[in-house]
Amino acid sequence: MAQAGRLPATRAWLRALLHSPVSAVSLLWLLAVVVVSVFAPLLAPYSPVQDNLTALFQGPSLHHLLGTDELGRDVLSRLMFGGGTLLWGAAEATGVALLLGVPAGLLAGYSGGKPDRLLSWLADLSFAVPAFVVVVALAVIYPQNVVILMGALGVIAAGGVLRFTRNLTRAVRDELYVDAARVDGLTRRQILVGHVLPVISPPLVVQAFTGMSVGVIVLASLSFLGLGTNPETPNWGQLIYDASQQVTTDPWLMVPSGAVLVLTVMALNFLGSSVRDLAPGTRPGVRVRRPRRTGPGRWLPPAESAAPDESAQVPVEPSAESLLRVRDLVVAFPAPGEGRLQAVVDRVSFDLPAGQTLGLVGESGCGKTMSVLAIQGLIPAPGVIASGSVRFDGTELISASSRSVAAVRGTRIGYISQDPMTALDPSFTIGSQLREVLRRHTRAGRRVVRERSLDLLREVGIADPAATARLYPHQISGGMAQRVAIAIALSGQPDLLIADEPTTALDVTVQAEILDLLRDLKERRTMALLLVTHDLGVVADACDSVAVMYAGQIVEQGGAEDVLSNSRHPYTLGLLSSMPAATGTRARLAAIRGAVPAPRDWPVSCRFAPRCPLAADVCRVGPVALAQAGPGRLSRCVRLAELPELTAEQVLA
Amino acid sequence: MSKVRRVVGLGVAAVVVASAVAACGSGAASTGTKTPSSAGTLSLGAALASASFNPWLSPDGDNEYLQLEGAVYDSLTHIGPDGQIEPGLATTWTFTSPTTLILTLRSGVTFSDGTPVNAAAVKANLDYAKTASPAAQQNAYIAALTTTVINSTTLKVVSPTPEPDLLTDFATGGGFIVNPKALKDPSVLTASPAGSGPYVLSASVPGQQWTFTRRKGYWDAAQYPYGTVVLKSYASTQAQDDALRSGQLQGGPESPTLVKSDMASGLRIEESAPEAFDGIWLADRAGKDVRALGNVKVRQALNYALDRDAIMKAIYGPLGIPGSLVMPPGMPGYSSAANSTYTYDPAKAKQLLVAAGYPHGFTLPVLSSPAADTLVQAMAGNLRAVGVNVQISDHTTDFISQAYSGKWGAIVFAWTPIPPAQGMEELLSPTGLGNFDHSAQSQIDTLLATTQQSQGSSQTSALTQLVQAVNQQGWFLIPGYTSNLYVTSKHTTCEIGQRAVCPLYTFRPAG
Amino acid sequence: MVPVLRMALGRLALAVPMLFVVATATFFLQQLVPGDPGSFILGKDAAPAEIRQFDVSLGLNRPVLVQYGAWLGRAVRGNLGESWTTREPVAQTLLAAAPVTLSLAGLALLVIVGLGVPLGTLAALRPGIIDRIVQASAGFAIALPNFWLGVGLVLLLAVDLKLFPATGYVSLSDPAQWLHSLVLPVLALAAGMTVSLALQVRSAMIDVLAADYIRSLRAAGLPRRSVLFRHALRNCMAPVVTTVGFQLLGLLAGAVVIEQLFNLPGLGSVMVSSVTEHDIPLVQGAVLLFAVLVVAVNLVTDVAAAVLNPRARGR
Repeated sequence: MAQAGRLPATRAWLRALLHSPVSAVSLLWLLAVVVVSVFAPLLAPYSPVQDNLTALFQGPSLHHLLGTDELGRDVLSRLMFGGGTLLWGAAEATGVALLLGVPAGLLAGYSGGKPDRLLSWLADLSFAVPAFVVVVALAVIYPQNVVILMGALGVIAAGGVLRFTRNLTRAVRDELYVDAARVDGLTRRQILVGHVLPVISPPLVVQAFTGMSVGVIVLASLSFLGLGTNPETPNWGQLIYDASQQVTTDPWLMVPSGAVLVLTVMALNFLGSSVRDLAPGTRPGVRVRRPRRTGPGRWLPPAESAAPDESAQVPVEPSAESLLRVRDLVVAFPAPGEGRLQAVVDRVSFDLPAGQTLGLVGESGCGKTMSVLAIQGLIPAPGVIASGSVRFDGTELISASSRSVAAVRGTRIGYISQDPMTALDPSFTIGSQLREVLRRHTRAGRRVVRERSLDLLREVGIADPAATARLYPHQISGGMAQRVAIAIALSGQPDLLIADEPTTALDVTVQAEILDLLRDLKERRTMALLLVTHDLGVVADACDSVAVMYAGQIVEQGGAEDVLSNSRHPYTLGLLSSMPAATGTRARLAAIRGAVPAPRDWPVSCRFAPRCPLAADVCRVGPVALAQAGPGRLSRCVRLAELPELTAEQVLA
Repeated sequence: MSKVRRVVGLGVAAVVVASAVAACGSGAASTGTKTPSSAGTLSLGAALASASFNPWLSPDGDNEYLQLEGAVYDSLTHIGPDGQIEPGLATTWTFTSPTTLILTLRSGVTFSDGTPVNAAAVKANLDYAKTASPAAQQNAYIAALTTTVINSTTLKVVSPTPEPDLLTDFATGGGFIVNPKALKDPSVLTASPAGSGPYVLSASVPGQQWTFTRRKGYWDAAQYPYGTVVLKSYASTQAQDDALRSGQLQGGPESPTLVKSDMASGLRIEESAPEAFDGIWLADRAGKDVRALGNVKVRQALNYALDRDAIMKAIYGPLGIPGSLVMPPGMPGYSSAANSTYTYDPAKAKQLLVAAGYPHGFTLPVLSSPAADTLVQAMAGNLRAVGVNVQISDHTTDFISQAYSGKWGAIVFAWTPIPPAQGMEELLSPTGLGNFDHSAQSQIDTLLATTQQSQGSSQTSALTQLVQAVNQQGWFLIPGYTSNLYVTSKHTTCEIGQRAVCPLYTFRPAG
Repeated sequence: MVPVLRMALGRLALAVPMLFVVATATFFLQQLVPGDPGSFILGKDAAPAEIRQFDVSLGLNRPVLVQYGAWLGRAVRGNLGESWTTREPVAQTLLAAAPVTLSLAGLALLVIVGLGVPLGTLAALRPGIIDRIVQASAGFAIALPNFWLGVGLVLLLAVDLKLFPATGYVSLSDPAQWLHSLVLPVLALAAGMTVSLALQVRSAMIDVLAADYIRSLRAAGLPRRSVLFRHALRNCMAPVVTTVGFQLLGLLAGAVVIEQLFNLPGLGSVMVSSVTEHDIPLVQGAVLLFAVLVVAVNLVTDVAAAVLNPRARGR
């Protein structure tokens, strides 16, 4: 979770922090509160105790911007004097908690063993203490002594800080760079201070802000109860209490004191969450930002008129109806901030006859996953299928109701995804997930469902189905998990199985097993298999036909053996040559020079041109259509004729 | 005998919620938000801290406890609307000598278990008072009495020294007659009363709420039209006020600061004649800790610095009466001449300070409590204007021990000088409760002795001289006097008269 | 379930020495209190002899460790001494006050979870008006102090509109009135935390809905509703439970202030009044009881989190 290396420099941080309007305002507000309370004697229009017994309970006016209270004192002035104590008290509690908890947590997390156990026990002890109640109890001995009360709060809170720091340190402890530092001979203290602390600081800063905000509320609450008060310069909590005692006479008094307190706590909270969102590596996983809603908007059409009708060019016998027939499929997402749709799958067409295997090949980002998700109607929001046709067993899926599409999922079309460990629900046992899906697809009773689930597990090659069914996903290996995922996908007896990079996340040894399994299953159950992969070796092993995708388009299509042995597109050639197996005696791993363009950078003309050694002006003129490149072969290259002269070396970097 | 209304002062009166115990399933009377005020249930707010139904242990004096005790016990005498003594269980009384009192009791009264209320029962109570522990404050006076039963309805009470206010003591907590059977094991009285009063305790949430239901066959039933009475304790005046406005209560002691808005909402306010004062005791009259206070000129200067009209109006609204004497108007010892000595004259105050040798003022630390905050701040404003640097320290939990520690030159306090002679004794005598630093001053001590030994009009003139002397000495910084206030809903009336709270027998439903 | 039981028992075993430490600390609290309890309780008019007698009757003249031993021995058997002000057994006072606080906290928890989870889920599912409202109001609602909100609610709904009682508690023997008397306090206590929980649920739900297994389960044919309720919600629950656990602790603390405001005779009121009245045995007893409640809440939270998150159970 924590990243190796440095944080962005403080200046960059601050800039980022100020960039967000909310956190900038919050920072300004807090600064204002601090400055005003420090310089209150100079800034306040009146003394906080100066009363004016002839001007009670006045509303806001020119002389008293926020009105006067029950003794005619200026509300604004009293507010100006009233924030400092709260912030100081909260800072004290937070400071004590951090000073005690962070070093102890660093020690506990780094050293482990006895110190860890002892310190962790102490931290747990602090969790058993009812903090607020204890502070109230302390008021028996030290009734108006804010310093002691807040200090005590800090001591109790240190336990939580300890535990938090310890967990962070433990996560970082085994990072490589820490090991490197250790090997370098740095002392433990140097490592902790110089390497560990900077990395774990962002979440600690977030904790500090949370602590401040809690501290302010706690002290205000104590003052509301009459503890920790100061008759001369009452803090905002006290002022709220005073106002509450006059609420039937002058309800307005509740507003200013409440408002400043709320604003200050809000500011602290916002700053805390801004730090959390901006600092790197503080949140595991991608931060899901909800994109702004966009309408259908305009979308960037290819120059359709220029391209010939491609549907006529699909290499299939006109009489046979494929099980799966995809025509001109377009999947698009709203372009962020631009109010239009951006295609990520650009008019893709292919056929898959029943019982056959089609390989969909391409680098990451070329649109293969979106294509297969579109077939199942599982494009994630806010993506849409902008146009095209997906015919499954004669039924058009795109225009069908969501219920009909849902009916197809699982029962006719099965799906397994790339990472088996995340494809299973971690909160349920293997058996329960499998049985749940089975129940959906069969009307049988519990015992039959259970037996069938065990049969399925056996079918995918799991040795002890009953024992495995009782396990949770985190308790099995990647290979086993993928087998389970396959079993789940098969429970509805689908005619088509879509496998999206089923072996990418697995060990090399396991990969072959899974591929064999898929092949066997396909044969035994007469399924069609749509195999998405970036590995041409898998295509060679398992596929009947192959479609190569690049930048949202299919660039080459045809029988697998044919395409692999006799590529008709520079990109395919490049892929073939860059395979590790193909490098042979080459010293370095080769790669196609350049990089895959992002969808918003896709030109209307040939998208591979920037990286293609054959690129000529003719390639950059306009859209390039898929054209026949031989019997049952399609290729999207205008310079097909010159292709045989292309050598591997030319394509590769 | 002193009737210190709030013995522990403003400090503890600040937070008056006692330990709260909710009796599960005891069916505490639920009052809806709109309780019709027929002669059905009367719900009253009462600032009662830890209340026990042993009247010989309860804080005595003319205070809210009289409502609690008065619901279940009969008292020997009552305080009438004009402050005069009225018969209760005792129908007639005669002082045959300054130290001998003959009491005649009403016949035919019984305790709730049927035991007759007779002279023996009263004697048992007065004897018990000698040993009650911890004792209520006035028990010290009762403990000195010797009681003899003459016949079943007549008693002779002899005191070692003349005690003309004995009957007032009987009326204000020192005369509730408890069933002698219960006195044998007084600990049960803490939660269950055993008396002869108009109501019996039917449910209680100790420290929070007490529900009383009317007793059949009570000898004075006409005075108590409500079938059920509920007394509720509130943490703050605002909470009680909320309850009153939302209809949960039909009455309660009123806080002066709420008078204006309550009157505006149509609630009724009952006001007694003024009988108490809050203020700052300039306790360090010898000047031990705050040297300036040792100089009478300084104390007088502080008195001239106060704008009493403004303070009283601000703090106590339309019902505040400004003044500087330790005796409220209408009571023996008050004289308007003396009361007008200290006009609002900051210039004169500064002059006096200069003459006393404090041209730049001085620092005055004041012991206070959060409840008194508003008053103290208002007064401090005036004092600061003449150069006195007032430093207010709030104490809640240890206010009392601080006050009596002798460390404070100025202390915020309150006092009800009723009855007048006793009130002055406790306030001014070197051993008195209200004399924190045990100050002695020859003129004041002499005049004090005179008031204790005289009676009638000679006592009044002695009191007047005493009060004047205290005023001249500037022992106290008093802004003014407060009346006892009681607020009731539109549909309920009561009579406060000269009493601390409306007695239960004065509540009636109204149109 | 066995590993969960083992974990629960392990935590329980740890809890006992912890409570012991807390109890000991609260006992020695008394030693730090300045002044003589006798003179405080009896008032200055009491003679020195009486004060001494009072102290003796409370056993305050014995050596500290002897007192501690006696106190501990009694406490273990459930005897927490007597209140100095009411002379009632502390345990009885606390036990009678506990139902009030438990009612308040329990109802507040129901509101927080019952409103917060659906609100957060809706906000996650529909990026429309509900989501906007939840996010915009969140910062404000969370920052609003519960006592400020309480005063406002009393003014508006009790005094002005007379819809609810301004103060007071009605025991469970009258369920309708009991509920009625708790509406405003519960609202004041729960408002901020409801929004906070909704935010947590929303972000947990957004994360979970983006997970692979959600897509795989739908691809396997499970209907949207059952994927949402059975799988998505389930996987949100572990972090949510941890949040709710923290909030429960916050509820106990907030109850102290809210009970004062609404005149509810619960443990919070006992706490405050015993502190202001210097009633040490009651203070000690109340702190101990709160510690027990905190430990119980922590235990339940940990067990629930483990039940909900198989990965956290350990082998």
